[in-house]
Amino acid sequence: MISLDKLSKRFGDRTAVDALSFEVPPGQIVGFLGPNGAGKSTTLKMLTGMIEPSGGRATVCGFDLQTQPVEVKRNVGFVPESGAVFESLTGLEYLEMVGALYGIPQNAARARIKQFIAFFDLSFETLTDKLLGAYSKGMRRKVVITSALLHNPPVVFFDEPLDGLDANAAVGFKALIQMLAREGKTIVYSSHILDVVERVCHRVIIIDKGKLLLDGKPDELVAAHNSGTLEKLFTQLTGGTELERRAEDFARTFRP
Amino acid sequence: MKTIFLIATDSIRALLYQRLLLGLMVASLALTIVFSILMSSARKNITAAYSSEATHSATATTAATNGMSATEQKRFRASMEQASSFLQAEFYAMASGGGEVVSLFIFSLAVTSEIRRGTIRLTLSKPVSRLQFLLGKYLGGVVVMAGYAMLTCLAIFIFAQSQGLELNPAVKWAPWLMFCDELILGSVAMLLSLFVHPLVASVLALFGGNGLCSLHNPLYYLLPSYQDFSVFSQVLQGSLLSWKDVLFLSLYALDFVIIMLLLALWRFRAKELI
Repeated sequence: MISLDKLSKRFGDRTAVDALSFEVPPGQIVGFLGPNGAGKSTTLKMLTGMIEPSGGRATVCGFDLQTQPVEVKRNVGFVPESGAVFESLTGLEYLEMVGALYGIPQNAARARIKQFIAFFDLSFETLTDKLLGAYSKGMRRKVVITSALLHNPPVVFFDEPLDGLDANAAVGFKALIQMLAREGKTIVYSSHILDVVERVCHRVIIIDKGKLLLDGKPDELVAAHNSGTLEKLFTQLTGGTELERRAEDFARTFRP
Repeated sequence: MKTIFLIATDSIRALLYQRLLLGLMVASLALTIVFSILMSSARKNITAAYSSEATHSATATTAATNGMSATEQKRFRASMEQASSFLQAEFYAMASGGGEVVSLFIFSLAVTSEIRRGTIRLTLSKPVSRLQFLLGKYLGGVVVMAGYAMLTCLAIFIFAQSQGLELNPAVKWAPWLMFCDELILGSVAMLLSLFVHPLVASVLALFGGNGLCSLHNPLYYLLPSYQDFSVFSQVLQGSLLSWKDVLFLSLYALDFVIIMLLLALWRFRAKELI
């Protein structure tokens, strides 16, 4: 469903993504992990057709990223990390515009939007009466997630999707993506909340400095590296050494 | 094409929600009307001056002309026509100035504000190409500027009616030319905003015309020719625009806008949206 072959991205002299290669089959939830600046968001932006790769090749749903970017976009949903929304539109105006961009008739789009509203415990009045700028962070996130799934895409990319969601919404969302994977959708889930990734994802890919470090099932990787948890494995791999001792030393500086 | 219209519609809706833009448009029209009312008092002063020369009548135009000699009547009518033309031209010049500010505000921020806020990621992750995005944003601005030009038309009509002015044929093309001028200015501002800060882009676009260049300077042919669209100078020089002149200017505007949009697209495609 997703195939990367030596995909690279350079910004001037800096290489953000360095010859990344992997494949994701349908129905799989892949945790896409890495420290800040590892190249996760850049990879997701390339895979959603927002920025052009500097080298290599990638296909999504059989469409080439460089020659058929609009077809790729038609088949993917994307929840970006940024919480930015169109502050001067109401939630309904924005979602109906997204529906129209995907060619969904207005009545069908509205019916679908109502299903999402019910799932996220939002009221229709909230969506029609208030501008997105007046929404809370969690409500904005729900609207952005709705916009990514509205057209029922076979591939969905989530970049920190739980950011801003309350506990109940987060639980519901995690259950939703597991159900979507069972329906055959491919999900790429980028997050720093590793225990959620460990519980939800079938497979994890860890990158650092744009390069692939590890790729496999979470429990198998943890067992193979004898690290106990995915979090410990991640810190081992990405250079986060002696974090607890450093925290203890720093905390001592607060003592009078 | 549908995608471009959707982006344009979305832009128009977002622009209309912007109180600052609406405030600019209202303030621009209000200033134009206030200034024109002040100008009309000058016209009344001319009437009063001629009336006192005629000694017989007080204020009414017809009464004033009744008491004048043929030469005086001719001079009086010429002055009245000149004052009326000047008044209408001044109205359009003011409205055009206001329109230029609105145009710079809309077009210099059309793409850059979305990049700055990060909302461009929401749009470009949908099945929208950068060409469609850019054209949609420009088209949205064009529609808002067309609305502004129509409001100006309405305002001059109401103003002329209330002041008892006959619409001068010299200014009949003015709203269209004003609109073309604002679109050129907007396209230049949009292009420059992809290189520099929108405020700097606006200033460069506004003062970067070829008005200060001689015909022998190559820049004269590269920089936009805003002054050709000014109806104010036409009225002051007493030269009327023919439909051929207007057609030529319209084609020039179209040509210039297309070149600016192509350059903007080239720059926008290469721009990294990190």
